[in-house]
Amino acid sequence: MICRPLLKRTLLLLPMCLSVAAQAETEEALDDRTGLPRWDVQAGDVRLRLVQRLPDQTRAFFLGRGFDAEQVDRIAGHCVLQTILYNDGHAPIELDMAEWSALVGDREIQPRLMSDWQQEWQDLGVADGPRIAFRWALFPNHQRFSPGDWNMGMTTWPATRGASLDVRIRWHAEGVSHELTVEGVRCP
Amino acid sequence: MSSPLKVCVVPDLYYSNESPCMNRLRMNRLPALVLFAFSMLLVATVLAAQEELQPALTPVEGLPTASDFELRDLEGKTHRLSDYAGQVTIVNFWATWCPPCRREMPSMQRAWEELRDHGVIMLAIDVGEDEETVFQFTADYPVEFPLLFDLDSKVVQAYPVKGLPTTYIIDKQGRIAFQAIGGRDWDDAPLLEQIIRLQKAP
Repeated sequence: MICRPLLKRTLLLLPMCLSVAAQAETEEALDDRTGLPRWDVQAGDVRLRLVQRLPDQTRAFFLGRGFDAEQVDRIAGHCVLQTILYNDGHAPIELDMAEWSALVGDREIQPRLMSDWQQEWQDLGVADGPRIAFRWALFPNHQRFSPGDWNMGMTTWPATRGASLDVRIRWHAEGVSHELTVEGVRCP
Repeated sequence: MSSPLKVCVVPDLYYSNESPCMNRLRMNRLPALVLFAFSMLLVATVLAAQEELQPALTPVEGLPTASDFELRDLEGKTHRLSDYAGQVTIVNFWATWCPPCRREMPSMQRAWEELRDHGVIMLAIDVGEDEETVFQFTADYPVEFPLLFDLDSKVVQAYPVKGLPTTYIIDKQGRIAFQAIGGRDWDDAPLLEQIIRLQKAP
Protein backbone atom coordinates (compact mmCIF):
# COMPACT_ATOMS: atom_id res chain seq x y z
CA MET A 1 0.00 0.00 0.00
CA ILE A 2 2.80 2.36 0.96
CA CYS A 3 4.75 1.75 -2.18
CA ARG A 4 1.81 1.76 -4.55
CA PRO A 5 2.80 4.95 -6.44
CA LEU A 6 6.33 3.63 -6.89
CA LEU A 7 5.09 0.22 -7.97
CA LYS A 8 2.65 1.77 -10.41
CA ARG A 9 5.39 3.86 -11.97
CA THR A 10 7.70 0.84 -12.19
CA LEU A 11 5.01 -1.18 -13.93
CA LEU A 12 4.40 1.66 -16.35
CA LEU A 13 8.10 1.81 -17.21
CA LEU A 14 8.49 -1.97 -17.61
CA PRO A 15 7.29 -2.28 -21.24
CA MET A 16 9.80 0.38 -22.22
CA CYS A 17 12.55 -1.89 -20.91
CA LEU A 18 11.45 -4.79 -23.12
CA SER A 19 12.49 -3.08 -26.32
CA VAL A 20 15.85 -1.42 -26.70
CA ALA A 21 16.90 0.65 -29.69
CA ALA A 22 20.66 1.07 -29.79
CA GLN A 23 22.09 4.44 -30.72
CA ALA A 24 25.36 3.05 -31.98
CA GLU A 25 27.74 4.91 -34.23
CA THR A 26 28.39 3.48 -37.68
CA GLU A 27 32.06 3.20 -38.64
CA GLU A 28 32.86 3.14 -42.33
CA ALA A 29 36.12 1.76 -43.71
CA LEU A 30 37.48 -0.13 -46.69
CA ASP A 31 37.37 -3.89 -46.27
CA ASP A 32 40.87 -5.40 -46.00
CA ARG A 33 40.01 -8.38 -48.17
CA THR A 34 37.92 -6.84 -50.94
CA GLY A 35 38.90 -3.16 -50.88
CA LEU A 36 35.19 -2.32 -50.91
CA PRO A 37 33.37 -0.13 -48.38
CA ARG A 38 32.19 -1.75 -45.20
CA TRP A 39 30.14 -0.55 -42.25
CA ASP A 40 30.62 -1.69 -38.66
CA VAL A 41 28.32 -1.17 -35.70
CA GLN A 42 28.62 -2.49 -32.16
CA ALA A 43 25.48 -2.32 -30.05
CA GLY A 44 25.81 -3.90 -26.64
CA ASP A 45 26.69 -7.54 -27.18
CA VAL A 46 26.01 -7.61 -30.90
CA ARG A 47 28.50 -6.63 -33.57
CA LEU A 48 27.37 -6.23 -37.16
CA ARG A 49 29.47 -5.75 -40.28
CA LEU A 50 28.01 -5.03 -43.72
CA VAL A 51 30.35 -5.23 -46.71
CA GLN A 52 29.46 -3.96 -50.17
CA ARG A 53 29.45 -6.57 -52.94
CA LEU A 54 29.85 -5.55 -56.56
CA PRO A 55 27.21 -6.93 -58.98
CA ASP A 56 29.96 -8.60 -61.04
CA GLN A 57 31.36 -10.21 -57.89
CA THR A 58 27.92 -11.67 -57.19
CA ARG A 59 27.49 -12.78 -60.82
CA ALA A 60 30.86 -14.55 -60.80
CA PHE A 61 30.13 -16.28 -57.50
CA PHE A 62 26.78 -17.70 -58.58
CA LEU A 63 27.91 -18.53 -62.14
CA GLY A 64 30.60 -20.61 -60.45
CA ARG A 65 27.90 -22.42 -58.44
CA GLY A 66 25.91 -23.49 -61.50
CA PHE A 67 23.37 -20.69 -62.09
CA ASP A 68 22.99 -19.41 -65.67
CA ALA A 69 23.55 -15.81 -66.80
CA GLU A 70 19.88 -14.82 -66.67
CA GLN A 71 19.49 -16.26 -63.18
CA VAL A 72 22.58 -14.54 -61.76
CA ASP A 73 21.32 -11.24 -63.15
CA ARG A 74 18.24 -11.65 -60.98
CA ILE A 75 20.47 -11.85 -57.89
CA ALA A 76 22.92 -9.16 -58.98
CA GLY A 77 20.00 -6.83 -59.69
CA HIS A 78 19.56 -6.57 -55.92
CA CYS A 79 21.69 -4.65 -53.47
CA VAL A 80 23.78 -7.55 -52.13
CA LEU A 81 25.59 -7.05 -48.83
CA GLN A 82 27.95 -9.46 -47.13
CA THR A 83 26.50 -9.56 -43.64
CA ILE A 84 28.47 -10.71 -40.60
CA LEU A 85 26.93 -10.84 -37.14
CA TYR A 86 28.73 -11.71 -33.89
CA ASN A 87 27.28 -12.46 -30.47
CA ASP A 88 29.95 -11.08 -28.13
CA GLY A 89 27.74 -11.30 -25.05
CA HIS A 90 26.92 -13.90 -22.41
CA ALA A 91 23.34 -14.63 -23.42
CA PRO A 92 21.96 -16.33 -26.54
CA ILE A 93 20.36 -14.09 -29.13
CA GLU A 94 17.74 -14.97 -31.71
CA LEU A 95 16.94 -13.24 -34.94
CA ASP A 96 14.30 -13.43 -37.62
CA MET A 97 15.23 -11.55 -40.78
CA ALA A 98 11.54 -10.95 -41.52
CA GLU A 99 11.84 -8.29 -38.78
CA TRP A 100 14.70 -6.49 -40.56
CA SER A 101 14.13 -3.50 -42.81
CA ALA A 102 15.88 -0.58 -44.45
CA LEU A 103 14.94 2.99 -45.23
CA VAL A 104 15.72 4.14 -48.76
CA GLY A 105 14.82 7.81 -48.71
CA ASP A 106 11.35 7.73 -47.19
CA ARG A 107 10.56 4.24 -48.48
CA GLU A 108 10.83 1.20 -46.24
CA ILE A 109 12.05 -2.03 -47.82
CA GLN A 110 12.66 -5.53 -46.46
CA PRO A 111 15.43 -7.97 -47.32
CA ARG A 112 14.39 -10.67 -49.74
CA LEU A 113 13.99 -13.87 -47.76
CA MET A 114 15.25 -17.35 -48.57
CA SER A 115 11.76 -18.85 -48.96
CA ASP A 116 10.92 -16.24 -51.61
CA TRP A 117 14.15 -16.91 -53.52
CA GLN A 118 13.77 -20.68 -53.36
CA GLN A 119 10.23 -20.41 -54.73
CA GLU A 120 11.62 -18.42 -57.66
CA TRP A 121 14.37 -21.00 -58.31
CA GLN A 122 11.80 -23.77 -58.17
CA ASP A 123 9.53 -21.96 -60.65
CA LEU A 124 12.51 -21.47 -62.98
CA GLY A 125 13.52 -25.13 -62.68
CA VAL A 126 16.96 -24.39 -61.23
CA ALA A 127 18.88 -27.60 -60.47
CA ASP A 128 19.48 -28.82 -56.93
CA GLY A 129 23.24 -28.07 -56.96
CA PRO A 130 22.93 -24.30 -57.46
CA ARG A 131 19.97 -24.15 -55.10
CA ILE A 132 21.97 -25.85 -52.35
CA ALA A 133 24.85 -23.42 -52.88
CA PHE A 134 22.42 -20.48 -52.80
CA ARG A 135 20.86 -21.72 -49.58
CA TRP A 136 24.21 -21.78 -47.78
CA ALA A 137 25.56 -18.57 -49.33
CA LEU A 138 22.73 -16.41 -47.99
CA PHE A 139 22.65 -15.17 -44.41
CA PRO A 140 20.35 -17.54 -42.45
CA ASN A 141 16.87 -16.06 -42.10
CA HIS A 142 16.31 -17.48 -38.63
CA GLN A 143 19.11 -18.20 -36.24
CA ARG A 144 19.99 -18.57 -32.59
CA PHE A 145 23.51 -17.42 -31.69
CA SER A 146 24.98 -18.72 -28.45
CA PRO A 147 27.67 -16.61 -26.79
CA GLY A 148 30.73 -16.61 -29.04
CA ASP A 149 28.79 -17.68 -32.15
CA TRP A 150 28.94 -15.68 -35.34
CA ASN A 151 27.87 -16.13 -38.90
CA MET A 152 28.19 -14.56 -42.30
CA GLY A 153 26.24 -14.64 -45.52
CA MET A 154 24.75 -12.43 -48.18
CA THR A 155 21.63 -10.38 -47.62
CA THR A 156 19.73 -9.23 -50.70
CA TRP A 157 17.83 -5.95 -50.68
CA PRO A 158 15.45 -4.74 -53.42
CA ALA A 159 17.25 -1.45 -53.98
CA THR A 160 18.72 0.07 -57.12
CA ARG A 161 22.41 0.78 -57.80
CA GLY A 162 23.64 3.88 -56.00
CA ALA A 163 20.88 3.78 -53.39
CA SER A 164 21.71 4.66 -49.79
CA LEU A 165 20.19 2.40 -47.14
CA ASP A 166 19.66 2.87 -43.42
CA VAL A 167 19.62 -0.80 -42.50
CA ARG A 168 17.70 -1.63 -39.33
CA ILE A 169 18.21 -5.05 -37.76
CA ARG A 170 16.41 -6.57 -34.81
CA TRP A 171 17.24 -9.43 -32.46
CA HIS A 172 15.95 -10.82 -29.18
CA ALA A 173 17.92 -11.62 -26.04
CA GLU A 174 16.49 -12.78 -22.73
CA GLY A 175 12.98 -11.69 -23.69
CA VAL A 176 14.07 -8.21 -24.72
CA SER A 177 13.86 -6.99 -28.29
CA HIS A 178 16.90 -5.02 -29.51
CA GLU A 179 17.32 -2.93 -32.60
CA LEU A 180 20.19 -1.15 -34.27
CA THR A 181 20.49 0.93 -37.40
CA VAL A 182 23.44 1.06 -39.78
CA GLU A 183 23.19 4.37 -41.55
CA GLY A 184 24.30 5.31 -45.04
CA VAL A 185 25.00 1.87 -46.51
CA ARG A 186 25.62 2.41 -50.21
CA CYS A 187 24.67 -0.05 -52.93
CA PRO A 188 27.40 -0.20 -55.59
CA MET B 1 -3.74 1.20 21.44
CA SER B 2 -1.32 2.48 18.86
CA SER B 3 0.53 0.18 16.49
CA PRO B 4 4.17 -0.58 17.49
CA LEU B 5 5.16 -0.28 13.82
CA LYS B 6 6.03 3.25 12.78
CA VAL B 7 5.52 3.74 9.10
CA CYS B 8 7.60 6.09 7.00
CA VAL B 9 5.88 6.92 3.77
CA VAL B 10 8.19 6.71 0.77
CA PRO B 11 8.18 10.15 -0.88
CA ASP B 12 6.87 10.54 -4.38
CA LEU B 13 9.81 10.56 -6.75
CA TYR B 14 8.46 13.47 -8.75
CA TYR B 15 8.27 15.86 -5.79
CA SER B 16 11.03 17.23 -3.64
CA ASN B 17 8.94 18.00 -0.55
CA GLU B 18 10.37 15.86 2.23
CA SER B 19 8.18 13.98 4.60
CA PRO B 20 8.94 14.21 8.34
CA CYS B 21 10.55 10.81 8.12
CA MET B 22 13.18 11.75 5.55
CA ASN B 23 16.09 12.16 7.98
CA ARG B 24 15.41 8.76 9.36
CA LEU B 25 15.16 7.33 5.87
CA ARG B 26 18.59 8.79 5.03
CA MET B 27 20.07 7.17 8.15
CA ASN B 28 18.41 3.86 7.30
CA ARG B 29 19.74 4.04 3.76
CA LEU B 30 23.40 3.83 4.74
CA PRO B 31 23.54 0.06 5.36
CA ALA B 32 21.43 -0.45 2.24
CA LEU B 33 23.89 1.58 0.19
CA VAL B 34 26.83 -0.38 1.55
CA LEU B 35 24.99 -3.62 0.76
CA PHE B 36 24.21 -2.34 -2.73
CA ALA B 37 27.88 -1.44 -3.34
CA PHE B 38 28.97 -4.91 -2.21
CA SER B 39 26.33 -6.51 -4.43
CA MET B 40 27.57 -4.55 -7.44
CA LEU B 41 31.14 -5.58 -6.68
CA LEU B 42 30.03 -9.20 -6.44
CA VAL B 43 28.11 -8.98 -9.73
CA ALA B 44 31.13 -7.39 -11.46
CA THR B 45 33.40 -10.13 -10.12
CA VAL B 46 31.03 -12.88 -11.27
CA LEU B 47 30.69 -11.29 -14.72
CA ALA B 48 34.47 -10.97 -15.05
CA ALA B 49 34.87 -14.60 -14.03
CA GLN B 50 32.19 -15.65 -16.54
CA GLU B 51 34.05 -13.75 -19.25
CA GLU B 52 37.22 -15.63 -18.45
CA LEU B 53 35.43 -18.97 -18.29
CA GLN B 54 33.31 -18.40 -21.41
CA PRO B 55 33.41 -21.79 -23.14
CA ALA B 56 34.53 -21.79 -26.76
CA LEU B 57 32.02 -24.52 -27.50
CA THR B 58 28.40 -24.20 -26.49
CA PRO B 59 26.89 -27.14 -24.58
CA VAL B 60 23.84 -28.50 -26.40
CA GLU B 61 20.77 -28.85 -24.21
CA GLY B 62 19.22 -32.28 -23.94
CA LEU B 63 22.16 -34.01 -25.67
CA PRO B 64 20.20 -34.99 -28.82
CA THR B 65 21.31 -38.10 -30.67
CA ALA B 66 23.49 -37.25 -33.67
CA SER B 67 22.01 -38.44 -36.92
CA ASP B 68 24.05 -41.27 -38.44
CA PHE B 69 25.43 -40.80 -41.94
CA GLU B 70 27.44 -42.64 -44.56
CA LEU B 71 29.66 -40.46 -46.76
CA ARG B 72 32.72 -40.95 -48.93
CA ASP B 73 35.94 -39.03 -48.44
CA LEU B 74 38.43 -37.64 -50.98
CA GLU B 75 40.15 -41.04 -51.24
CA GLY B 76 36.90 -42.88 -51.81
CA LYS B 77 36.75 -44.40 -48.33
CA THR B 78 33.29 -44.61 -46.75
CA HIS B 79 32.80 -43.19 -43.26
CA ARG B 80 29.80 -43.86 -41.05
CA LEU B 81 29.33 -41.82 -37.90
CA SER B 82 28.33 -45.03 -36.11
CA ASP B 83 31.78 -46.48 -36.95
CA TYR B 84 33.17 -44.08 -34.38
CA ALA B 85 30.87 -44.95 -31.48
CA GLY B 86 32.88 -44.84 -28.27
CA GLN B 87 35.09 -42.01 -29.57
CA VAL B 88 34.48 -38.28 -29.43
CA THR B 89 33.88 -37.15 -33.02
CA ILE B 90 34.15 -33.61 -34.34
CA VAL B 91 31.78 -33.09 -37.28
CA ASN B 92 32.42 -29.86 -39.17
CA PHE B 93 30.11 -28.66 -41.99
CA TRP B 94 31.88 -26.39 -44.46
CA ALA B 95 32.34 -25.31 -48.09
CA THR B 96 35.38 -24.07 -50.00
CA TRP B 97 33.71 -20.77 -50.94
CA CYS B 98 32.90 -19.92 -47.31
CA PRO B 99 35.59 -17.50 -46.00
CA PRO B 100 35.34 -18.40 -42.27
CA CYS B 101 35.44 -22.12 -43.21
CA ARG B 102 38.70 -21.56 -45.07
CA ARG B 103 40.07 -19.45 -42.24
CA GLU B 104 39.50 -22.10 -39.56
CA MET B 105 40.94 -25.03 -41.59
CA PRO B 106 44.62 -24.51 -40.61
CA SER B 107 43.68 -24.35 -36.92
CA MET B 108 41.57 -27.50 -37.35
CA GLN B 109 44.61 -29.28 -38.75
CA ARG B 110 46.70 -28.12 -35.77
CA ALA B 111 43.93 -29.24 -33.40
CA TRP B 112 43.77 -32.60 -35.18
CA GLU B 113 47.52 -33.11 -34.68
CA GLU B 114 46.93 -32.63 -30.95
CA LEU B 115 43.64 -34.53 -30.61
CA ARG B 116 44.28 -37.69 -32.67
CA ASP B 117 46.65 -38.98 -29.99
CA HIS B 118 43.74 -38.75 -27.55
CA GLY B 119 41.55 -40.92 -29.79
CA VAL B 120 39.35 -38.07 -31.03
CA ILE B 121 37.96 -38.29 -34.59
CA MET B 122 37.63 -35.25 -36.86
CA LEU B 123 35.42 -35.26 -39.98
CA ALA B 124 34.89 -32.20 -42.20
CA ILE B 125 31.80 -32.53 -44.38
CA ASP B 126 31.80 -30.37 -47.51
CA VAL B 127 28.27 -29.27 -48.40
CA GLY B 128 27.24 -29.50 -52.05
CA GLU B 129 30.61 -29.36 -53.84
CA ASP B 130 32.35 -31.95 -55.98
CA GLU B 131 35.64 -33.75 -55.45
CA GLU B 132 37.55 -31.65 -57.99
CA THR B 133 36.68 -28.41 -56.18
CA VAL B 134 37.73 -29.80 -52.81
CA PHE B 135 40.86 -31.41 -54.26
CA GLN B 136 41.96 -28.02 -55.61
CA PHE B 137 41.22 -26.49 -52.21
CA THR B 138 43.55 -28.92 -50.45
CA ALA B 139 46.47 -27.62 -52.51
CA ASP B 140 46.18 -24.34 -50.56
CA TYR B 141 44.85 -25.82 -47.32
CA PRO B 142 46.45 -29.24 -46.80
CA VAL B 143 44.73 -31.22 -44.04
CA GLU B 144 45.18 -34.81 -42.86
CA PHE B 145 41.72 -35.48 -41.40
CA PRO B 146 39.01 -36.90 -43.70
CA LEU B 147 37.09 -34.49 -45.96
CA LEU B 148 33.68 -35.99 -46.76
CA PHE B 149 31.19 -35.11 -49.50
CA ASP B 150 27.55 -34.32 -48.80
CA LEU B 151 26.74 -33.77 -52.47
CA ASP B 152 22.95 -33.54 -52.14
CA SER B 153 23.09 -31.83 -48.69
CA LYS B 154 20.95 -34.60 -47.16
CA VAL B 155 23.30 -35.01 -44.18
CA VAL B 156 23.58 -31.31 -43.36
CA GLN B 157 19.80 -31.09 -43.41
CA ALA B 158 19.57 -33.84 -40.82
CA TYR B 159 21.44 -31.56 -38.41
CA PRO B 160 20.19 -28.19 -37.10
CA VAL B 161 22.68 -26.29 -39.27
CA LYS B 162 21.67 -22.75 -40.26
CA GLY B 163 24.90 -21.44 -41.73
CA LEU B 164 28.46 -22.50 -42.56
CA PRO B 165 30.69 -23.29 -40.83
CA THR B 166 28.90 -25.14 -38.05
CA THR B 167 30.61 -27.79 -35.96
CA TYR B 168 29.22 -30.41 -33.61
CA ILE B 169 31.13 -32.38 -31.01
CA ILE B 170 29.60 -35.83 -30.69
CA ASP B 171 30.27 -37.64 -27.42
CA LYS B 172 31.16 -41.32 -27.03
CA GLN B 173 27.47 -42.21 -26.73
CA GLY B 174 26.69 -40.60 -30.12
CA ARG B 175 25.01 -37.52 -28.65
CA ILE B 176 25.62 -33.91 -29.69
CA ALA B 177 27.43 -32.53 -26.66
CA PHE B 178 28.72 -29.19 -27.98
CA GLN B 179 28.29 -26.96 -30.99
CA ALA B 180 30.08 -24.00 -32.54
CA ILE B 181 28.34 -21.72 -35.01
CA GLY B 182 30.85 -19.75 -37.05
CA GLY B 183 34.60 -20.23 -37.21
CA ARG B 184 36.80 -20.92 -34.20
CA ASP B 185 40.50 -21.09 -33.42
CA TRP B 186 40.44 -24.83 -32.94
CA ASP B 187 43.89 -25.05 -31.42
CA ASP B 188 43.03 -22.67 -28.57
CA ALA B 189 43.98 -24.40 -25.33
CA PRO B 190 40.58 -24.00 -23.56
CA LEU B 191 38.76 -25.40 -26.59
CA LEU B 192 41.09 -28.40 -26.85
CA GLU B 193 40.68 -29.00 -23.12
CA GLN B 194 36.88 -29.10 -23.52
CA ILE B 195 37.20 -31.82 -26.15
CA ILE B 196 39.86 -33.84 -24.33
CA ARG B 197 37.78 -33.68 -21.14
CA LEU B 198 34.82 -35.09 -23.07
CA GLN B 199 36.98 -37.89 -24.48
CA LYS B 200 38.21 -38.76 -20.98
CA ALA B 201 34.67 -38.81 -19.57
CA PRO B 202 33.13 -42.29 -19.17
